Amino acid sequence: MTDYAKITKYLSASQDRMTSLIDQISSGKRVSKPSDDPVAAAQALLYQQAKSIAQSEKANAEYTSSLLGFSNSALQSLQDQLADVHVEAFYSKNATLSGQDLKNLGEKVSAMYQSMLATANSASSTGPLYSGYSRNTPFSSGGYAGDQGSLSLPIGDSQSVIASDNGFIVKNGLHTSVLEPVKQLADSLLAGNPATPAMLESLEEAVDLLGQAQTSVGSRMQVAENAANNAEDKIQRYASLISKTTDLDYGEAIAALEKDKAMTEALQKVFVSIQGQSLAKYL
Amino acid sequence: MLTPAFGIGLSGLKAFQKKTDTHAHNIANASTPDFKKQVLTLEEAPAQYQEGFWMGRGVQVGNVSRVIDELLEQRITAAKNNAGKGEGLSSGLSELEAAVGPAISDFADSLQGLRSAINAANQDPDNLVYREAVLKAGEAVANSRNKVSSKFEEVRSNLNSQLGFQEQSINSTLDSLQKINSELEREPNNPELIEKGRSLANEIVSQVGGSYRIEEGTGKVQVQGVNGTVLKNPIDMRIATGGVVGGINQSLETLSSLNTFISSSSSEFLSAFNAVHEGGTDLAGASGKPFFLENGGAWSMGVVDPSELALGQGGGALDNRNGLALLGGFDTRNTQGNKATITESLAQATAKLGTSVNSAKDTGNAADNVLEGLLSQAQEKYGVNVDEELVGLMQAQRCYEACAKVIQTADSMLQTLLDIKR
Repeated sequence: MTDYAKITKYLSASQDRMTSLIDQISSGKRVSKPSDDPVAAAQALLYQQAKSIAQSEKANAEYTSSLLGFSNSALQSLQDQLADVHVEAFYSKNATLSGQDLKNLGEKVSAMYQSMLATANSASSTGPLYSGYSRNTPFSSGGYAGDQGSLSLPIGDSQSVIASDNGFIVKNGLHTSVLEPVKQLADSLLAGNPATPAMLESLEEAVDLLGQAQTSVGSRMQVAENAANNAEDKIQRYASLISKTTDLDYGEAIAALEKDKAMTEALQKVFVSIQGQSLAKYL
Repeated sequence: MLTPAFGIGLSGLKAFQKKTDTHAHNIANASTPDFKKQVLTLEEAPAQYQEGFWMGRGVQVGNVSRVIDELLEQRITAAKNNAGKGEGLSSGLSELEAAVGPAISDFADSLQGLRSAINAANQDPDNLVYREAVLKAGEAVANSRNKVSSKFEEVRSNLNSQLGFQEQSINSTLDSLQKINSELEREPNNPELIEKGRSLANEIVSQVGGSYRIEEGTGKVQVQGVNGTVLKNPIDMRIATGGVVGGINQSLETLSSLNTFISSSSSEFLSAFNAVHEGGTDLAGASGKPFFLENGGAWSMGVVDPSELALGQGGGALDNRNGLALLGGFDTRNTQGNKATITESLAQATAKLGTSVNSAKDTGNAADNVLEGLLSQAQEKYGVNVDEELVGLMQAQRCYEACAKVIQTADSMLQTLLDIKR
């Protein structure tokens, strides 16, 4: 090959490299097409998927946390109200109370029952807290109108967590174990009868059951919060992997560009110098 | 006895005139492609026996020849075949990469979009806004899947039309070669015609591969295809495995195999995903319809009403069990070959695309380097070195002057003789 051809070839190769470096620098991407780095380009797709899944998991975990937060307050409120009912039930056993006093007490407990019913029927943005898959208002004096479904969501590491419960969040159901005993007490008091020991016992048992349910909700909240943190870590990790795989190392790119620039200039000088090397010039 | 000096001087004048012509011809063709320099050989003119001596009678032109290394020429042709193939392959695959690469990546993105939309709907399964978003995301998947197919088709049609143009140009080169061969029939072994034929043959080989052969006796140049048949207009482009056309043909094969791979992986995903969707129930409690439809490879939405999205499994409005199962649909591994999920398959296709582009470029560069090396050898052997030619030219000029001087001297000697007589 003649020197001219060689220099032209090197110059064009060096200019091609510079063009591609300038493209990379302006886009900030080292891999903008598969052939820039086939393995990295393929890996990036998988990292993107993993990141997107982690984002979903984080959203699920946060959403779960907030739903369980509603449930937790509802259960706490039910327990508080139940404790008040229990106080009234105990008081009804006072022998000095007249029939009318008991009836008045009955009115009070009846109002408390209505309030507890409202709490048990409370809803989040998604729907009633304890209706299962159903959108029906779950509780009424007639019984439970929801179903046994529970909305669960994936929160990472093949783990799902129940975000929204049903009426069976406590043993035998909220209706039977918690609301019904209050209703029975109210009815009994309205009829002028004080609370029986069995009634008191059911109320105490109901408090325990609500406590257990609250513990379950609390531990799930904890799981969800941890999952949200894990998912956030995953998102960061994958984002940094994606960046590492496909983003440009500016320092490296600029150094390479400088090198090619120097080489191009040198080649241009060589070109000028051999251009003068012709016998024809001396004839 | 002075006359021989005139003749000898004259022979020198003639010879150096020819030498000057040869150098001039070489210099004039210094940048003519495929030009092989002419070399003039001088030899002593036959001596004559005179008065008991063999007297020299000057110089004569022995031969004006071209230096040709046939073996090197064959290697150059083979290298042109390979370099042409590398060029065809790497330009074909680069075009494929530029068109299909982003489409594959968009398809993968749209799948993540659908997965995210289903995940959001699972949080609030009867929310029509979320359901609508799932359908929109599904539509984006169908569109991007179709875009991948249409990009494959676009490149295929571009490469085919490129082959069409190539075909015309090769046929016309074959016609030109045919003309040269007819001229060679009239003027057998005319070296200039042979070189023109060789140059055309090399052009054809770099386009369609094969090799050429110079017929003994006539010097006709014939290009032979893969199975030894002599190539003629019209040429069959499909059988070319070498040259630019061979490279494009190979790009088309890579295109087909990649397209088949993505199509079958996508179809498997579609069937698996549809099966999950059909296993669920929609807001009205009815069984799910196919989520996507595939008709002749084109995807469209099977579900168009948000309430028909089957997120439940027979439960109430907030049943998201099938929505959860649909998320699992993205992780279904296909049954054939690679046992990969759809995203893994797309990643594999991306890697395959990038790797084939790079290996085509590497092979092409290697072939170019081999060709350059051989051309450089040829250049050294029979290319024109202007400096060398100029030196030769100066030498010829000086010798010409010297020979003229010989004639002048002989003339003056003859004059002297004539003056004695007067």
